[in-house]
Amino acid sequence: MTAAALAKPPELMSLPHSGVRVREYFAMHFQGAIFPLTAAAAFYGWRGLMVVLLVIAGAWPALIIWRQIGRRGRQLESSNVMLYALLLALMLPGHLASVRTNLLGVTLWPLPLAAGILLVITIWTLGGLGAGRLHPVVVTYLILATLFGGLLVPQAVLSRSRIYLGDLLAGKPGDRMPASKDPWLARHDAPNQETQFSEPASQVLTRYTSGREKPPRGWLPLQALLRDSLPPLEDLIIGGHPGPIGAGSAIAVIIGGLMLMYRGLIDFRVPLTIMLVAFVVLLVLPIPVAIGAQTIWHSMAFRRGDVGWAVGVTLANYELMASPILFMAFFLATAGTMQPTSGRARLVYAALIGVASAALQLYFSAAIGPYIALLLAGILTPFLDKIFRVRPLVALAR
Amino acid sequence: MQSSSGKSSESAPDVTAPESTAPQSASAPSAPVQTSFRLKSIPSPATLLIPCRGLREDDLSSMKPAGTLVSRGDSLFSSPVDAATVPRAPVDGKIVGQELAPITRDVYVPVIRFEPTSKENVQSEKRLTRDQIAPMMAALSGVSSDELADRLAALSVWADRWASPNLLAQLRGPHRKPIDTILCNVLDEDPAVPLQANVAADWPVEVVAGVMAIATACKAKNVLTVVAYAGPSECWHGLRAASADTSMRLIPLVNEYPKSHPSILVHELTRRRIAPGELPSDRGVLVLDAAAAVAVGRAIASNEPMLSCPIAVHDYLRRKTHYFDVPIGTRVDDLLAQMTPAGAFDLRAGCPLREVKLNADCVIGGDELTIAIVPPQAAANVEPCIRCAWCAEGCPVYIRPAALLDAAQQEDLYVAAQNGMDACIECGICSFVCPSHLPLLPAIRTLQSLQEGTRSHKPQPAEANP
Repeated sequence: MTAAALAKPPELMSLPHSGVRVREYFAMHFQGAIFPLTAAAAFYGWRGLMVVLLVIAGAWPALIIWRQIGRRGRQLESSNVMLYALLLALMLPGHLASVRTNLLGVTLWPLPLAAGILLVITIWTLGGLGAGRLHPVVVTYLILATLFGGLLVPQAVLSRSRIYLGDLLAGKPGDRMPASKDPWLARHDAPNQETQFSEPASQVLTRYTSGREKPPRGWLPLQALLRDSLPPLEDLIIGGHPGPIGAGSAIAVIIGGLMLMYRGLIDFRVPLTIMLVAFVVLLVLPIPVAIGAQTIWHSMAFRRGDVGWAVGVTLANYELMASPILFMAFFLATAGTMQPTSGRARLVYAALIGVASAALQLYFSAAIGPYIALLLAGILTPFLDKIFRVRPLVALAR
Repeated sequence: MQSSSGKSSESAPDVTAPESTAPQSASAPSAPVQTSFRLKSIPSPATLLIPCRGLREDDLSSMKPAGTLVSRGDSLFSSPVDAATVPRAPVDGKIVGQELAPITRDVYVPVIRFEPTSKENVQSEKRLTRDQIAPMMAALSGVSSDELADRLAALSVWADRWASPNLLAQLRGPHRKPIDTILCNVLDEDPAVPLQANVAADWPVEVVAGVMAIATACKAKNVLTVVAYAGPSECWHGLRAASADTSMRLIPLVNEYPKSHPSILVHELTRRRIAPGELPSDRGVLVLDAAAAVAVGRAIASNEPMLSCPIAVHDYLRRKTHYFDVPIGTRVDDLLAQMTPAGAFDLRAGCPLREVKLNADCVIGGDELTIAIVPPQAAANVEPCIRCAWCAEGCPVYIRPAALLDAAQQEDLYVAAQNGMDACIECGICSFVCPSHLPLLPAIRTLQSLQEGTRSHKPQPAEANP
């Protein structure tokens, strides 16, 4: 610019644009959620899909109503709310889509419906689109878990021969079976057996690692827990074990996350760091290696006579696969409102989630620990953004 | 929104290049290998407005009086002026007067109104040969970069644009570090409009002569010319043949917008970071583009002043590119009369993502070499920031545009500085990718104007201590 140039203040002007607006941005996330949704249909049948529909059916009218309330309401974006409703539904168990059945004895279908309404209220309360540092889906889920904790514990999964088609609640309460050593894929189902009932691995793990387990024969070493009380690890990877309808299949969640990465919607460093850090912390933090009259605590990172690295790594794998940490890492922790802007801050943020998630899983609850960890780390995000300043390619003025 | 009406010409010359696509995304790969086209020289318009660079309106007192007839290449001033460059007549004609005229929509400079008396072709047909380069370099062996700058200024050679920072200032210094690298930037700002590549393909010997002249005067050891990997093959072959006897190295690069910006290019090639407000020469690198190199080569080897400049007009409505060589001082609407833009359109200087608006009455003086004819933009429906961080992830210089928007709303220059406002190269990628359609680039420009205003209103020592 010449010295004699006279500059006028620039005006706000319309700009050339890529065409990807907010609606398209959130719609693109559905491409990642399709894989857990497909797993939900496969392993939990029509009831799994019905949970999704009920949550969305609750969220839709609530969205229409809450859009009328204040400036914040006008900012509610339908694609954003529907995505969040889908994610919330994927965190719920399939048996919620039920009227009074022999198995449960209570009518649960209003619960997902109410969850959808509660989600919209939470989004509005937390500030609307793009505001706040608390993930509305996580907050809604934790409210539900606090109020209806027992009802959110997954109970059943469809038998291999009845995937997509079976009824999740067909059967009797007495059908509950101990953990089988046969993988779900190779298990021989009894004739007409649509469903396999069992206690979720996350519950078993939480009881043991928090030291609350009451051993039936006075003494329960960690190896025995892994051998006798937990399903094969591949069941957790595939999803052939009771769990939240979308978060239960680790492989589906991973493929969905990879799709989000492929579309450039999420930063791969966040889920990768969360998983790596959580794995390491699960090895480092002391856990009971034997529960009896006296509980013996030991860190798996340090070798001990009868408990080696192999047991520690196996336990860590179970913890990662049985809890919703994968789902949280790929679909929730990568939300724009949650994560910091700079790459270095994101690494710290993800590491914090990994540490907190592992600790909460071990000592509090494997089912909701990762969600609480995400909330805690999200609160720190503004501070991380302040601490980690920009490092432009062009050197800053001295 | 400024909308210009389309103009038609009775006999539109056939100077169009084949279809080149609009940039669909900020990181779109370069277009497939293109072929080069000679620039079309246009007849002189009825009136030229010749910019006087580095002069204020009241500095034009030494201008030749109105009514004076001058010949092509003559100075328009009766006595030497302390100006960046000496304004010269691009064709034979008559001085009419002086006024202010815009070079972009918002920037006005003093100009001399000039009426050509002939409609001659201004494009120089004189061509340098490779044999002239070595004697030219020998003649320049004792010339300093300051002396070279003075010679260039006397011949109206000048360049100060997005991809080619102020050439004379780079030559004159003062330099914090001796210039050891000359970087000729043949990458085009908009990869879809290969103007620089066409210039280099058309005048390869002039480009080499210009670059080597500067390298000799600056005593630079490294002489690099960066060529788009997918550009016209004639550009590469022409430059390679012309530089065979010199120390100039050709470097092919994939040209993705905004790689042609000197900050990014210099960092990619030399790992040197140019601080805000600095010229590349402050870091030991002198950057000029192909058009500037041609002007320097002609000036030094043939003593020929810079009277015209290459211009590309990319019509995004018809997806056609027109390449011209136009006299300095031509108005944009005179240039548009050479083609037939259809319907309502807006004009942008450079790559449209930069969002530098042009009016049809703007003057072409070499500040921007690419003009884009774009469809009129509808008013954007802005949505709240969803913190997707696409602006930060897409930013080529790693700043935080969304945080800068916050700072602009609060008029907080401290927060703006913390988030890298000074480092912004105004490429416009942040605004382009923002799903919420937030005016990030205008916000950064607002902050920069605010900062300039704050600086200019700082109390002087005398005022501060009465």
